[in-house]
This record gives sequence, structure tokens and C-alpha cells, in this order.
Amino acid sequence: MGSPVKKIMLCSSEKEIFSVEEQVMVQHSVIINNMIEDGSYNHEESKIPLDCVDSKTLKKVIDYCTHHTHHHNDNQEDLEAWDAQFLNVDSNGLYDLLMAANYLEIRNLLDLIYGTIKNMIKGKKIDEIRRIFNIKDHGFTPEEEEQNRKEYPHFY
Amino acid sequence: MNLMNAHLPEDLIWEILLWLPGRLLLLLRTVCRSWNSFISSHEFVMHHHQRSTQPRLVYCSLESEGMDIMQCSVSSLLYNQLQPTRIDPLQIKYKSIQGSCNGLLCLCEGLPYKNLTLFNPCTRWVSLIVPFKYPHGDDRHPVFCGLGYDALRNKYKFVTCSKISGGLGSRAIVCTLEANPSWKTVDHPMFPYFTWCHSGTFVSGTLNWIAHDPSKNHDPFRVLEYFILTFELITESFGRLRLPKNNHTHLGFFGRLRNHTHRGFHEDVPSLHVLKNFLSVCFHPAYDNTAAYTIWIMKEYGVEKSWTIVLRIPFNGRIITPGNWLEPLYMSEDYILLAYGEFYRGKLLVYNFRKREVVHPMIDISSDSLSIYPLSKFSYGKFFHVYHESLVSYFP
Repeated sequence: MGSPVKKIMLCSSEKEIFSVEEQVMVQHSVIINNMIEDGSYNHEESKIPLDCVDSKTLKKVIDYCTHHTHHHNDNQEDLEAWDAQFLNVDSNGLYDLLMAANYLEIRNLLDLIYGTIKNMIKGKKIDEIRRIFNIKDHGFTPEEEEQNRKEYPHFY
Repeated sequence: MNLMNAHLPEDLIWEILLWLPGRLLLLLRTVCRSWNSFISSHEFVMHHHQRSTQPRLVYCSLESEGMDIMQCSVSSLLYNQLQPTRIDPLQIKYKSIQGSCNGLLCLCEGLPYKNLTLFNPCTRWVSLIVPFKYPHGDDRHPVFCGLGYDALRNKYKFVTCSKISGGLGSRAIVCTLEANPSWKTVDHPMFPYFTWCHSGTFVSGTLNWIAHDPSKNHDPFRVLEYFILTFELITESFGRLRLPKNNHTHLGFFGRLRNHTHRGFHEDVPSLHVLKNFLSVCFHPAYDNTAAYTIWIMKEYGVEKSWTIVLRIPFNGRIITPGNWLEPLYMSEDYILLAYGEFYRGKLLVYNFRKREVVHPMIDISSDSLSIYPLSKFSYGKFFHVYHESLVSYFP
């Protein structure tokens, strides 16, 4: 029944090891694709250390890549519904996913997260946006702040 | 809700902001000083424009000088099948669109043309006003023109040329739109050409028009040989490109005869557009039972071998019928096409290649009723442009 599926090992910040189909990660992550291509990954002994990705996030990332590899022929609506369900996480979870997708260079997951953040920002007032992005010091002089307030009153 | 417990690295903030529509970014400049300088930088503005996902359809009417230029969202036309798309007036005194690039519209006042200006509908930034100049100093000779961007000098240039070349006294002049604008004569192509196009299609640093060689086209039964007349903005030089080999242009005897009877000799003229950021050409119907139209893109600009078919549109019952022309306006990432054509009073239509379905987008009639020929009923008598919302030149 064909050759066995090639696997690679990913190691989370908690040193937990995840075994994933190589093809799944190669297709999605630019970084892992490069490691496999340039031969810096040895299938017999090495594992890829991902020190800034915790187990919970890594599991999510692997879920995402696996689903999108095996279901890429699904119709658009089904995939979108799956993505929406996938990103139904709290804000810390979203932040962790963003950092992991950025680190592993998973383009379509990044785009998905940016799209979600875009929806979080749309229609919000300035104070809420500053809170969302944890901006404590806006750095404007009181005069500039007053000027902005005059120009975009509905935003304040 | 607090999204970020820790501070996001700057490159991720940059990425997130790049995703947002121009109108929202104008507001977000007031969030904090570092966002303000991000959003205001030339690098960000140009990067954001390349990424822009906010295409808008803008059109001016030929019906009267007093009509405002109108615009609406392309995404709404494509995807909001249940909710009518709102049409908004641009509310600017200029009444005609002579070209567009980088989210800027080149608007013109008067007929004969008097003044030119660049206008960004998103930021409502208006550039300085430049007196329009006819290549021959008066408006007796018809002109074609175009707006383009010289990326090397970061300058916008407007070119205008006499329509018939190869004959006596034809000229092309170009104006760099800067603080002290001046018109200068540029070398005109030596080869003969004639074009029906008015404003050029700007893509890959080059303006493009469909043209043909009038010296070869005296014989009414001969098929016209079209090519693309090009003008490169950096070098300010003209050139030509071959169209893809398309069976549809070889109409033969009956083809031309039919064309003459229908609408003069315009019918089989291929049309030029920018679709998915590529130079694109749409061939009009001929004797082909498999497709009503074929749309090609030039995958690598300037490389004639890279012409590739992206879409074949079949005949479709009442809507897409043989013998009519179709003019594409926009193609989405998922190959959904916005177009208009001769059929059905030229109503706008959306062709969904996956569903093999053609629909007319719903248009909010109350916002559309200002015109004698509202967009919801006709596309007649209108000049369309699709621009991508950008922040370009907001900070001149």
C-alpha cells in the first residue's frame, strides 16, 4: 500500500514532541520547507525545536495545517466555516497563534488571523482600539490629540 | 477586551495595518504617534496600495456636463447578491476621468478639456491643477491620453497624443505632475498606428492602448491586425506588443461583413484591461461554439510568450448571447468577473466561473436615480474605471 507517510518531529517550548506528516508542514510553513529542502533536518534523529511556541498553540497550528492539507478541495464555504470555528479562541490564544504563524511563516494562517483582527478593529472607538493593542501612551501632545478629536469626532 | 497582553512586535503591527482599508487607516493615524508615522510613510503607503483589497468602480456619464462622477464598491457588486449596492457621488467639480493609477484618479474639467488634476477619492486629496494641453495647441485633432506612475522618480505623468500617427504633424506630449508642471514633446513612434482607445491602461510602469496599422487596413474585407501601443513611464518611450494568437480575430469575410452591419467596425476590437494586476485582453465573439469570450492575461509584462487564457465565458441563455461585445472591469482572486456589455441594455453583470452563473448585481435605486441613465438600468454612455482605494499622496 505505497510507502509509509514521512513524519517529522516538532518540539514545543514545554519540550513536548509532536509527530506530524512532513508534507503537511512543508506545504504550509516556509521555515520548515526551507529546513527540509536544505537538508538541515535529519529524519532519523533530529526534531525541530520551536522554543517560542507552547504545546497548546502548536497543537492548534498542526490542526490547521493538517486540515488545510487534507481538505483543500472542499468547497469554499465549508473551509471558511471550519476556519471561523478554528479561530474561535480568546484573545490570548489569538495572540499566541499570531506569533506562532509568524515564526513558522504560515502565510494563509497569518492572513486568516489578520482578517480576524481587522474585524475586531472595524467600527470600534479609539479607546477600545488602544485597549485592544495595549497602547498606554499614545505619544501625542494634548494639542495634537485635540486636533485629531476635532477632525474625527465620531471616532472618540 | 485586551487582545495583546504583551506588545506586538512592530513588523506584525505593520502587517496588520497593511490589511486594513484606507478609510479606516485614516482614522487609525490618531491611535498613537508610532502608528501615525507608520501609516504616513511612503513605504507603507505604496506597500498598502499593492496589497489593497478595496477595489471601487467609478464612472462618469457622457449625458451631461452637470453630472457628478459616481462610485461604488466592487466587492459589494460581486458578493452582496442580496443587499443592493449603494452608489455615491464623488462630489467634485471635475466631470471626466482621464485615467487612474495607484488609487488616484486623473480628472479633467471642461470639454474641450481645460484643467487636469489628480484626486484621491479615499483621502479626498486634490493635487495642484494643471492646464490641459492639446498636442497641436487646439482641440481640432482628437487625442488619446493616459495617467501613469514613474516609480524611479516617484512622479505621476500624463501623456496625450494625436489619434492618427504616421501622417503629418502628429505629436505626443507628456506632463510631469509636480510643483512646476510643464509639457514637453516626446518622441513619437515611427510606425503607423491608429487607436479607438481614449485613456490608456496602466500596468507594470507602462501605459497601453489597443491600436492597429492604418496603412494595412484599406481593404474592408481584410481583418484588422491589432497590437498594443505602449508607453513606458520611466524612459518616456513608445513601443508595441503583440496580442495573443486568438482564432477570434480571424473572422474572415462574413465576420467583417457582420461587423459592418452591426455597429460599424468596432465590434471585433479586442479590449484592454488590468485584471488581477496583469495586462489583460478580452476577445469578442466570433464563430466559436465553445466560448463567447476569451480573456487572456500577460503573466510577465512585455513577454509575448506569457499570454495565457484565464477565463472562457460560454454563451448563457438570455444574458450572454452571440454577436455582442463584453467589456471586463474587474476579476477577483477567485476569478469572479465584473463586466458590462452590449446585451441587456449593457447592464452590469457578474460572472461566476465556478457556479457557471451570470447575474446582474443589485443596485440601490434610491442612490442611483440622479442620472437619466441610471447604472441599475444601463451602462450606456458611461466611462468606467476601477481603482484600488489607497492612501497615495495623502502626504505630498
